[in-house]
Amino acid sequence: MASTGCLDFEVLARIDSMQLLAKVVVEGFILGLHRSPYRGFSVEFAEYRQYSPGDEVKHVDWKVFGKTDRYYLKQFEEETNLACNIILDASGSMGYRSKEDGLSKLKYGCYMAACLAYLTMRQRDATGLMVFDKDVRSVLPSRLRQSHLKHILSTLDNLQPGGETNIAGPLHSLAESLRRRGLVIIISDLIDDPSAVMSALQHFRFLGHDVIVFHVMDNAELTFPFNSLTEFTDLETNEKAMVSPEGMRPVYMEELRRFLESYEKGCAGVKASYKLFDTTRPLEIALSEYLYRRSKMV
Amino acid sequence: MPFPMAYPVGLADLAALDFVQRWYLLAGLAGAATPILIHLLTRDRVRKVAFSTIRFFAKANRRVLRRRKLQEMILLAMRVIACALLAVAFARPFLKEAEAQTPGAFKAAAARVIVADVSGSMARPGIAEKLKAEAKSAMESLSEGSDAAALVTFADSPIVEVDLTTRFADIRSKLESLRPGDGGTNIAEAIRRADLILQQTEAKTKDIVLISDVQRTGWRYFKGGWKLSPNVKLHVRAIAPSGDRSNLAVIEADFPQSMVIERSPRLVAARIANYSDADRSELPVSLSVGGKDANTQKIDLRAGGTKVVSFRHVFDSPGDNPGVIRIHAEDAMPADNVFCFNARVIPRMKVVVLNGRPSADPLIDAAAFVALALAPTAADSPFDVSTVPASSATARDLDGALAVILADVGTVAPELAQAIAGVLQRGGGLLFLPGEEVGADAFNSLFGDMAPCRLRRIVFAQTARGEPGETVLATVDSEHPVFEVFYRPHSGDLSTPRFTRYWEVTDCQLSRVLAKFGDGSPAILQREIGGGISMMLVCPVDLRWNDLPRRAIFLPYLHQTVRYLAIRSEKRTAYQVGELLPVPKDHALRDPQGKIRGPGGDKDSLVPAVEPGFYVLRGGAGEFTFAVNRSPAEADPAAKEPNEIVAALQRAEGEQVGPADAGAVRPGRDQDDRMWWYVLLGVTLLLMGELFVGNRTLRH
Repeated sequence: MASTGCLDFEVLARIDSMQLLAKVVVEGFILGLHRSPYRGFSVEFAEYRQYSPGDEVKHVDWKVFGKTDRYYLKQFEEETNLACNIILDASGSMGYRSKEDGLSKLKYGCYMAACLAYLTMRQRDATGLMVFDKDVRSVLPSRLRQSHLKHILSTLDNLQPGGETNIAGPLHSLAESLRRRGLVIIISDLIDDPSAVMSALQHFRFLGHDVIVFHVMDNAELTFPFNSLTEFTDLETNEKAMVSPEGMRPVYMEELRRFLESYEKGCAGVKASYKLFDTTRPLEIALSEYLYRRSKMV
Repeated sequence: MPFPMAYPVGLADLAALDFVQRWYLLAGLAGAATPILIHLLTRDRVRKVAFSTIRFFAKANRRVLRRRKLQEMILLAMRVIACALLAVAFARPFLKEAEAQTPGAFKAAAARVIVADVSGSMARPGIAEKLKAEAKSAMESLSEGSDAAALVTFADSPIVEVDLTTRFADIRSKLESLRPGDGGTNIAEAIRRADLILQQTEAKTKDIVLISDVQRTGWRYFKGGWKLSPNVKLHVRAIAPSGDRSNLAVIEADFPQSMVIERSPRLVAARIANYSDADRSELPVSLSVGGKDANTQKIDLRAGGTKVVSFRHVFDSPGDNPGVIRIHAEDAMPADNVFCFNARVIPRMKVVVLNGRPSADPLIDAAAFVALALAPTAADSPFDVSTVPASSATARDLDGALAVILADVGTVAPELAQAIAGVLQRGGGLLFLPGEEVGADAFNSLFGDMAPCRLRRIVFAQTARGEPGETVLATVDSEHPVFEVFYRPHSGDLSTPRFTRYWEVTDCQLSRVLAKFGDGSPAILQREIGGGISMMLVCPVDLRWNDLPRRAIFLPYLHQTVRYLAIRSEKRTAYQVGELLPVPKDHALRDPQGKIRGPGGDKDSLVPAVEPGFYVLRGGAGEFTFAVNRSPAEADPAAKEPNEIVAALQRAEGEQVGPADAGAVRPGRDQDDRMWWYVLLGVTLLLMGELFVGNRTLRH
């Protein structure tokens, strides 16, 4: 049974509310971090220190002086005010799921996006969501308001796969539209020409964004477990191909290996973080990756 | 045959193809459809799957699919062909050679095969004339030009003297020259052959005329299971001797075929039969050896009875001793009153004992016990034993040796090793008795190709607690000639010798293990190398290794072993008329009439013995005499009722060939037609190909 680490996907799938789902996953994840290096990341932390000669007088908290007749300085943790933009691929190929009762890649991507959005908002980072297929389908610019999270989760809730993939075009458009430098998280199956996609990622990097690519694939796409004569229909183009899978498996696996390798190397080349997920992998890995990249940025 | 080929060559070959089991063919060819049916029923059903992208296999897909279809078609074809060929193989195809020459175009109103018995029993007075008369009589009712006839003579096996023809001159000529021979009788096989001949023609009436004394013993080869072809009639014309019908015969004899020269007399026994209605008294039976009368006995023999006559004779002449047992009496068939035999006497066997540990102390000397056991006194022993120290022995010491015993010999000069190998090559024997003087590596490198095995290490026998102990011979191959004398009760216990140590051996896969120790390791091994025999007892005859020399079985064991190594009795001296005599290359065979029968060619050959008497084989190894006698069954004049033969073989009116006996009406094919073997070989190759292609083919 597929698991997110804390909860089974089957359990999550029964949670209608994307917000509740994100909360369950993220809170569970954070609970698990209480002894982790990320302890004490809250931006609301502040402390007082006794005045010593040479300190700026403007930092003296006069209210405390009034109550205690002693000089104390008020110290603040600096807020990161990071802009995190989650870019989700909702093309037809993302609608693929190998099992009738399993998660489609898009659903998995939505869960991942929801959890990330919940976590980033909880971190007081401004969060935005962009959805695309062959064009940009919807844009929710990065905001810090809690009501904005509801918009994001609502958008994810109602997302349906469709249309062909043209990853590079929409990514270039989105790169141009992002005003603040920040963290860009791309969730996609990346079924497109890798060189074009790399060019788009390079675009983000050129504009100073930090890029994380979450490459989502179905387990069947990675293992090609078919074993009888099969007519495959392309979910995006509706093209059909009659295939004898046993004979085709070596060819498919070799092509897939090259495909994944091109993205892995390409991302390393543009200094983007690349993570391959199949739809049975825990979502916490995505959250951890986000926190790791964030810690590098602040 | 004068009939022209009616078809072009290729088609003629096909037309000449027939099947013994046609029913199998029909059923099998129907079965060939099975793979097609299975293919259709289990064809891949296309599954439809919506997939994220087909970009990864769109290019290669067409090529793979095309290849898969091709492979599947090849597989299907191979399976169908394999099934069909299997059916063909079971149907037992054969080429109708005779029909190929004389295909169905052979037209005749009537066809008749005359089957004339020329076996030894037909030599009785008056029978030969009756045979000719009956044969001519059988020809009279045929009209030359429109009817066809063939002549088959038979004794042990049938001979087609004249194949089916409408011109009878050849047959008449052959009939005039018909003479009874000395062979046995096989009536059924002759009739089967005649039936085959009749299958060449489409004549409306076909019959076989058997002219024979219809000996009961000549019918004993018929085991049933077949009948004549439909519409073939069998007529049996039984002929009986005229005048004196009494017959006396030597029907069996027991004599030593080969032996070592000895002074003690050997038993020669013969069974005499009286096939007549009158008792015989004071019947003289003589034994002569080498042309000289040796003994004569008189016996009383009642009518229809048999009696054994025993002679004791000292065969003291080295080489062949041709002997004759003769009944001195007048009867209808004097030829079977004589029995020939040859008792081959081998002169004293030269045995060389190579001593690897010579010593003045007989308890230490490696060859002392062996030499003493083989020749306690030089004069009386059948063995001419010479003991030579291995270190000083030369190749000349082995000249004429029939057996060489290597007593604890670890190494010898290369020339001597070559001479030892020569003993094996010329049919002699080697006996290895390895002891402490032997080093495994040196022994294996020097004698590895001559010994029945290789040596590994010396093993000390242990008790169950691991203390020094003893072991015994636990398993002995009692069917081996060396040990057969010990097989009977109270004839020597081979488990009495105790062994404290022995050589562990290896690489003995090609050897026959004659005896094993209690722990299962080989004790005595034998291997045929070249024309000779190499044996090994894995320890020396040494009291420090075992107590074999102290045991009663030691001397008979050693004598049996050396006799076996020096002269093995596979060479048979007694044969019957019709059997094949082996003539080695560069040898010539002289028959009883003094004619050279066996050409001295460069290949071994087999020459049939056609008459009784002594056949002398001459060649490089000297002379060897074969004694050939008539089949004793020919002496028995008891006849079979002709109607029984007709009832056994002839089909009832309207009776057709069924699947059960379809093969039987085509006799003789078993030996003649091996085509189905090749078909089966083809099936095997096809199935192997199918396996190969199948493994490569993309299947579920």
